[in-house]
Amino acid sequence: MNQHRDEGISISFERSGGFAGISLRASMDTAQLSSEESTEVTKLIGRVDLDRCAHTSSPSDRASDQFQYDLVITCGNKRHELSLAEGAVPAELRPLLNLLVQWAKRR
Amino acid sequence: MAPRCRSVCGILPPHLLEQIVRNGTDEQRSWAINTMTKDFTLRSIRAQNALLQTKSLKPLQVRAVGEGQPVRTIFDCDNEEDLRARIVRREGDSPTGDLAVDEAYDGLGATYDLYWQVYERDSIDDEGMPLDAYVHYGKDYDNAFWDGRHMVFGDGDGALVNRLTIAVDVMGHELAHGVTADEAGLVYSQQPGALNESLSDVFGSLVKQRTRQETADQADWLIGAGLLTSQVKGVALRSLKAPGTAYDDPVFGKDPQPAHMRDYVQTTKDNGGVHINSGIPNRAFYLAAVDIGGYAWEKAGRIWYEALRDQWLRPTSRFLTFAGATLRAAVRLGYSESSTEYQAVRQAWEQVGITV
Repeated sequence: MNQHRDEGISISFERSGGFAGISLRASMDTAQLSSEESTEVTKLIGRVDLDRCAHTSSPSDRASDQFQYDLVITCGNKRHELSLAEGAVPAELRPLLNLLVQWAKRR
Repeated sequence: MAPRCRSVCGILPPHLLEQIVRNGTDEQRSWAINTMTKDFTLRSIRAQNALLQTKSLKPLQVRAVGEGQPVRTIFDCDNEEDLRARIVRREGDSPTGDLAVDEAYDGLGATYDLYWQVYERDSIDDEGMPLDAYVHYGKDYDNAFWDGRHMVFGDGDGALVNRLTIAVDVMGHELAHGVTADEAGLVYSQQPGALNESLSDVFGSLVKQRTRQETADQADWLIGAGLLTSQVKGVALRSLKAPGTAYDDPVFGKDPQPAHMRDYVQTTKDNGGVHINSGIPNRAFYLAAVDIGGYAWEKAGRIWYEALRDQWLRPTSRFLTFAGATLRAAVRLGYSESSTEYQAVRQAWEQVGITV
C-alpha cells in the first residue's frame, strides 16, 4: 500500500557536477500534474525509504566527475532533504531520479 | 546494480573530520572516526610508496610490454551501469568499428603518449599501470567519470549530449584524475577539488593540442567541443581562454565559470563548485601558456606537471599553494626569476587574482 497516495507531494531537484559540470533543475507538485503523472510520481516515491536515503551518502562516495543529487521532497507535512553522491544512490531511487532528469531536460 | 565507487579523492580534510568527531551525532562520529582511520592508512601507504619510489628501491614490475607502451583494455558495458563488462579491444588489436571503443582506445593512447614522450611518466602511476576504459556505460548516460581505478564513458542522451568519447580531451581529463590522485591526492571538494578539476582540464586540453599539433595561440582552449548536440546553444562545456562563455542555453543555463578570484562561487552543489571554480586556475594556465608561446605542453605544461609533483602540495592544497608550486617548478626546471617563463607564470596567477 502506498503511504503517500493521499498526500500532496512536491519535489525540488538539482543534479550538479558530472564531467560537464552542468546543473539540471526541476520542480514539481503532484497537485499540478496530470492524473497519470501524479500517479507515476507517487508510485516512485512510495518505493523509496526517504529517511534511510538521507543518511546513505558520505564524502567517500565521491568519485571524480560523478553527479551530485540534491532533492527536497515534501510529502504532506513531512519534509525530506537529500544530498547524494551518484555512487550512493540506492537502486530504488534511480527511477525517480531518471524521471526528474527527463523533466529537467524538457525544452 | 551500479558499482559503489570508492576514491581517495573523497576524503574530507582532517580538521573537518575532527570537528565532526567533536560535534557530530553518534552516527556521524562513528563515520568520521572510521574515515580518519582509513585516511591514516592511505597516508601510510602513500608514504611507504613514496619511499619505494626512489630509483634504487623501485619495486619490480611485471609488464605485458616495455616502458613507453600503453597497456589499454576497452570494455563494453552493453548499456548497463555495471563494470562487470566484456573486453572488446586489447592493446595492439585492430579497430573494432565501434566508434566509442575505438575513440577511447585512441584517446587513451594519445594521453599516454603525452605523459610518456613529454614528461617521461609511464602511465597513471608512473609504473606502467594498465589503462582500463569502460564504454557504453548505462542507458542515455550523459557523463564520463574516474572511479579511482577505471575510466568510464556513457553514450550521452542523444538529444542534448553526444557520446562522451567524441572529444579526445575527455579521455585526457579522466586519465589526469588518476595522475592527480597518484601525485597530490587533491581532495574532491571546494578549492582543492576545483584545482583537481583544473589539472584535468589543463592536461586534457594539452592532449588535444598535441594531437592537433597546435601552438598556444592556435588552440581553441575548449573542453568538450563536439559534446553538445546542435540543439544546445553552446560551443563546448568549458573554455580555459574565456571561462563562463562556453554555453548559454535555455535548459542548461549559462556557463557558470568565473575567470577571477573576485568572482569565486561559494556553493554546496557540485562538491563545492569543483567544475565551476576550476575556471580560475584554468585561465591562469591559458595566460601563462600564451605568454610563453609555442606548444603549450612543452614549457607551461611541463611547469604545471612538475608543480603537481611538488613535495609541498597536500591533498587540501588551494590555488595559492599550487601557484607557489608552479613558480618553484619553473625554477627547478632552470628558469630564473627574471626569465620570460617565470614572469609569465607569476603574472598569469596575478591576472586571476592570486598573488604569490
